[in-house]
Amino acid sequence: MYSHEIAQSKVLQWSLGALMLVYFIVFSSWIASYAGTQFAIQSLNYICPPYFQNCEFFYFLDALPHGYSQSLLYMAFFATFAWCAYLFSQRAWMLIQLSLMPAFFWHALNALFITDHRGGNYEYYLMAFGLIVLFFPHKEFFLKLSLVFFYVLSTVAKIHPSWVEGGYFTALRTGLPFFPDWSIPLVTNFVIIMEMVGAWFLLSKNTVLQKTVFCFFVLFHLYSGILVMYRYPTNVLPFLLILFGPWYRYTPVPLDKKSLAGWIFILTLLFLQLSPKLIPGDEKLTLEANKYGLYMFEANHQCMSQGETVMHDGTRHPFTAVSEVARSRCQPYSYWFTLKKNCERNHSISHIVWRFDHSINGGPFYRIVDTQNACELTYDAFGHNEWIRTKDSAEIIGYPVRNVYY
Amino acid sequence: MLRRPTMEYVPDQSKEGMYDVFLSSDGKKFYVLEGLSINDPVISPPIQQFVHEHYAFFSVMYWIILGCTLTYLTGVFIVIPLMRRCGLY
Repeated sequence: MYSHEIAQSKVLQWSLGALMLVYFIVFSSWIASYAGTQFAIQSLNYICPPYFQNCEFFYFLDALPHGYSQSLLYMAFFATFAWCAYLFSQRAWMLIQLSLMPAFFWHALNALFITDHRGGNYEYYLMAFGLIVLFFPHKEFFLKLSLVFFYVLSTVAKIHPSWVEGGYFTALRTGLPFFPDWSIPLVTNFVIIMEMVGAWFLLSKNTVLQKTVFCFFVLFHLYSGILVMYRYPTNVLPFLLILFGPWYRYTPVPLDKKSLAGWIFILTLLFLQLSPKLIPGDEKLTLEANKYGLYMFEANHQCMSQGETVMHDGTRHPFTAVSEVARSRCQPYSYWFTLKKNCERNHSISHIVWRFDHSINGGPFYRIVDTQNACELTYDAFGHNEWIRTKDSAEIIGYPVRNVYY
Repeated sequence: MLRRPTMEYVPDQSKEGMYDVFLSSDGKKFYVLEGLSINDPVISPPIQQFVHEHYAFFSVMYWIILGCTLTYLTGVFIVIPLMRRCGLY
């Protein structure tokens, strides 16, 4: 656990505090959420991750008013955080690390295996910071590198018309706050360059360069908070301020055996970020493997899911669902998952006719799914699913108008 | 993606509470999802149109910048120090 590194470094002590703060913020929203509770299973309002489609086993908690086991668990975490606050005053770093481990594992289990609803970009940040602060050696270096690397990795998702052309924001009714529409591509490309190249200067020995880039990213997070609100800046800004602010000092690159775990982790992040590129089709349209790396503002989505549930007695029940919110990912997988579970539960269903139309960045609505029986389909989490059409094979059924972000 | 704001639209069909469909004077079908308006057309500003026309160049350029940056930093901060340590550089 390399607690001696924390004992010797004010930066790491504050990072440990920042980690606890973020867990507190996350759990304060999860305590009242139905996602991950038995009620979600009963009401068929859950989505398992695509690589773990039978996640029901993990749904054992009950949220109020159905039960209080979830509240009990999160209040136990609350008590742990209060205990950690006392341990901070005692400078008992190893005990703090041990006490935060249940929060780390519970958070990672939720974000990776229990529900697809909690696989947000900021959860990946928190998992990485938690892993490094609680377990890895060379904590300060790998904390700094992982934060910089997240900026760089996010640009892999941004090499797309969403950002290179600025299509994400020009397709929004409210555009990009404070910037006129004509300037949007200039702003988005500037952000790409700063994250791809500029972010590395956060690690620089050159004070002027380092501080200039630091100020840019502080402003960037405060600005982006206008859209993404508190959660993402809360995840990243404390670490940015602690690691690269007034206390910044150059940290040499560790190349000893102990650093191997950190380097393997960094390589894993790179592989995961590139993994959607290994699957045919535009992952922003098909959403296949989209969440295996960072995917913040990867595309502005609008979609329509329509069809008919046909019963064995011949009765037909039409259904329609639409999503006009830019940030609501129109994953065919999520819609299919609910239909599939419906087929498994209700034996009076004969088949489900299903059509799914998806538009990104104000582009055409493509009919990417058109099937006579959704119940028969299966979903491959690590490859292309033939029933999800790519842009080349999908029919254009119409065009969208500007949508909204909230 | 570009649409002239002066275009005229005729209501075509709708699904109550879900979306309305309009036909434009140039024969295109527009789906206006619940809460959105046909009066908010998607318009690409000139710079976006320029980047769209040369998208392949921009895309390749970014991949090259990303690859070169990672190669350079890996070489200078990892490979060369390791080779020095092994007496190979």
